[in-house]
Amino acid sequence: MQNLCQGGRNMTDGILDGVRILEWGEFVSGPWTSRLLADMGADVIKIEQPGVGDSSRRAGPFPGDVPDDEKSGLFLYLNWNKRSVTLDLHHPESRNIFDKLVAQSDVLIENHPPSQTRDLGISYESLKKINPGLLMVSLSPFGQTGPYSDYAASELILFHAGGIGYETPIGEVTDRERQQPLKGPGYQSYFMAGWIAALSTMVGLFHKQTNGVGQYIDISEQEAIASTQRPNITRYSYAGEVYHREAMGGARFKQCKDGYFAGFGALGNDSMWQKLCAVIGNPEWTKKKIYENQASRREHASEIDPKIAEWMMRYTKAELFEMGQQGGLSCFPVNTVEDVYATEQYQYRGFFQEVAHPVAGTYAYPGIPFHFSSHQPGIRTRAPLLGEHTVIVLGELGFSDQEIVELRTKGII
Amino acid sequence: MKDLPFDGIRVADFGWVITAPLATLWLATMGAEVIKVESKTHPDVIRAGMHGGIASGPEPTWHRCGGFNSLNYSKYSCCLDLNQEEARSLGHEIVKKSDIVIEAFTTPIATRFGLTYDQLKEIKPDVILVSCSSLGKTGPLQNVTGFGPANQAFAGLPSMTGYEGGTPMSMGGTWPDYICGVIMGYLAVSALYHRAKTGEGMHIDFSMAEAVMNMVPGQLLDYQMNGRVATPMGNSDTVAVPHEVYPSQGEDKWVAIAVHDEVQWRAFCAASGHPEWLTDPRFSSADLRMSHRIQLDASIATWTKLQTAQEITELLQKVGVPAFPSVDSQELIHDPQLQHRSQFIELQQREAGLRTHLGMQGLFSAIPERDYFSTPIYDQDNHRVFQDLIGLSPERIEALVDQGIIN
Repeated sequence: MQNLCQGGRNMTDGILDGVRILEWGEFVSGPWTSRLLADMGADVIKIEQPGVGDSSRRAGPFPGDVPDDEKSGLFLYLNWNKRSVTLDLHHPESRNIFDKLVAQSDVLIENHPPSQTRDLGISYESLKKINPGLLMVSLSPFGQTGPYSDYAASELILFHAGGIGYETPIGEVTDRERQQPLKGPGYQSYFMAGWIAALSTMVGLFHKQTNGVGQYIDISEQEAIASTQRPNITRYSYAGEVYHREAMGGARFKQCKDGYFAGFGALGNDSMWQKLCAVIGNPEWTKKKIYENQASRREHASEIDPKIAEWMMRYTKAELFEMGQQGGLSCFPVNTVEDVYATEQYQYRGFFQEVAHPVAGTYAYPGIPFHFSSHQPGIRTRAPLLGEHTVIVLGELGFSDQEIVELRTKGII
Repeated sequence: MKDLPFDGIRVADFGWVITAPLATLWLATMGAEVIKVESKTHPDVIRAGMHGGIASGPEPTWHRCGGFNSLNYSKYSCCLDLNQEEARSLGHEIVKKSDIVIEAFTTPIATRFGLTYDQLKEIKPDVILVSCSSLGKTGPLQNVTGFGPANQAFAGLPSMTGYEGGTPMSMGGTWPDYICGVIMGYLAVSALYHRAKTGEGMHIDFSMAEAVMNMVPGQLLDYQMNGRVATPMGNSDTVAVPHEVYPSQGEDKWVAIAVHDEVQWRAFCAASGHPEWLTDPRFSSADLRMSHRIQLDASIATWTKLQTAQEITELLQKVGVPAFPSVDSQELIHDPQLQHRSQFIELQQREAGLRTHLGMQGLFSAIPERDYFSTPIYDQDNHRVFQDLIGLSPERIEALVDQGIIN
C-alpha cells in the first residue's frame, strides 16, 4: 500500500489493526466517526447507495467549482482509509449481503434517521442475532427515542437546538433584538457528535476487550453540541442567570495593519493590563488612575479600546504576535485559511498532508491533530471511488464472479 | 457493582481549566478512579469562578463554582505543591500506581514538575501520558500559551465566523475547549485499549489548534482547490434557502428554519399560510430564492414574529421542515428531549447544595447507569491518596501538610 503520509512521520501499525468496521453512513457525522477509527488502523467498509453514493459527494468544495461526485473536498476528507461498497438496502435481496457484512464486523456505525432504519428493519436487536458480540453505534439528530426523535434537522437546527447558537457570536452583540443568534462555520455539531461517537466506540471496544460483551450506543447530535453548555447550565442552576451573546465591552478582535488580532484589550486582569501597557511602550494615556483596576477599565473600555486600536493599526499581525508573546501576553493573530497554510508551526508538525486522488488531483488536507510516540494514526489510502471495492469485498464474502454479475444486473450493487 | 468499563483503572489527573478535566470526567463516570492533583498556591482558575454560575456563600469561591463542579464530579482531590521536590516525588508515587496520566502544561513547566514522558517512563515504563496544548509539543511555537478563544483564532475559525460580510467573531461554547476534552478522552481510551492488548504504554501529544482546523475541511479545501479565502457567512448556507434564524414572539426569542429542497419549500409555504410565495417570481426556484434572499428573509420574519418559536417549530416539523427554537440555557435545561435522555443530574455539593448539572453524553446499552457523585472539595481525599494508596503514615502526612508540601 502506498504511503501517503507526507508529514515526515513514519507510518507504523495502527492500534486498531484487525478491527473491522462497517459504516452505513451519510454526509458528515457517521463518516467522520468511522474515519477517526480508520486513521487508527481499523478496516472500514463503507456502504453507499448504487449510482448515488454518500450525499457529501455533492457537497463540495469542487476544483474549479464544477460539481463531480468524485471530486468533493468534503467527501474526500471524510472518507480516506476506507473501502467503498455499493449496496441498495431498499432492495429485498440486499439483506443477505448486509447480514454477511455485519457478521464479519466488530462495529457497525450508522447515522440514518431513526424512522428509516426502522422501516428497513435494521436494529441492534435483529443484528445481534447474526453477530452476538456486535458493537452498534447510531448517530441521529435527537436520539433514537423521545419526543423529538423524528424531528427533521440540519447543522443550522442542531447548533441552535443545542444552546450554543444563542451565545454565538459570543461577547460581540450590542443590539440583541437586531443581531440574531448565529451558527458556527461548516458542520461543527456533526463533527462534535462524530468525536463523541468515536470516543464512545472506543469505550465499547475496550469494554468488549475486557468482558466480551457487545452493545448498542445511541448518540444524539443535539446532545453532543449541547455538551458545550456545561457551564451555562450552572449559570442557571447555581445563579439563575441566562447567558447570551451580548458584548462585554470592547471587541475581542481588533483590526491591525493587515487583518485582525486577538488578545489586546481593556478587559484583561491587572497583570495582563500592565504587560499590555509595557508592550505598547507605556504611553502617557495608559497612566490614568482610573485605568489601574479591572472593573474600572471595563467601565472605560469605550475610551481605552480606540487608543489600543490606533496603536495596533501601525503593525502587522506577525509583528503584534511577536511583541505580545515576548511581553508575556496570551495573544494570537486572527488567521485566515491562507495564513494557516503558511504557518510554520503547522508545517513543522506536518499537519497538512498531501493526498493524491486519480480523479480529483492532489491537495493538502488538514491531517492528524495528535502525535503518538508509537503506532501513529495516519492516512494510508485516499478516499475510494464510488463502489471501488464492491467486487473485492463481495469476493472476500465468498460471492462468485457470476453471482456478482447477477447482483449488478439487478441493481443491488 | 455497576460493571463499568474502567472499573479498576486509575488516572492521575494533573490537568486544569476545561479540556483535561472534561477528558477525565468521561473516564471517571465510566468507572475510573480519577485523582485530581491540585494546588492551593496555584488554584485552578475555574475554582476561582471564571466559568459558569457561582452559588452564594462565604469567600472563597473554590467549592461553589458551577463550572468547576460540573467538570469535576465523580473524582477525588488531593493537593501537592509541585514546585517542591518532595511533592514531585509524591506525584511520581501516584503515577506509579496509575494507569493513565493527564497533563496540560507547557514543556518547561511539565519538566519542572517532573511530568514529561521521558521522566515518567523512567519510573513507570508502561505509562500512558496524554498531553494537551494550544499548538502541540513540537515546533517553533510549542511553548506559546493561550486559552481556547485565542487559539481558535490562530486556527482560523473566527475569520469565518460572524455576520455575513462583517468582522471576525467567536463561536460560543468556550470553543474549542469542550470538543478538545472529548478528543483527549478518546486518546486516553485508545491508549488504554492498546495497552490492554500489548502491554505497551505511550505518549500522545495533542494540539488543540490542529483539532479546530480538522473541523473546517470545506473552507480549507476551498482555498486549496479554488484559492477562495473563507469569510463570515452568518447563518446562511451555500445551497439551502431559506436558511436563517428568525425573530419570533417575545424578547430576544428566535427560531431556526432550514429549507433544503423543493418538497420542503412547498411544505413550508403551505404550513406558514403563504402559498403566494410559491408563485412569486422572485422565489420560484432555489437559485432565485438565493439571489432574493434578503427580501425572502424579511417576508418570513414578518410571519415568524407573530408566533412563539415553539409554535413555529411544531407547525413546521409536522410537515417535515427542519425547524427549532434557538434555545437559551434556561430552555435547554427544560428541553423534554434532553430530559428524556437523562442529560441532567442532581448532585448534592458540599458548599453549593443540591444543584442541577449536565451529565454525560451517549446512551450505552451495556452501561445502564454511570458513576455520578459530588465534586470533591480541595484535598478532601488526601488520606485516601497519601495513606491508603501510597502508604504514608498519618503523622507523616500531617508533617508534609505543615511543610506545605501536601498543600
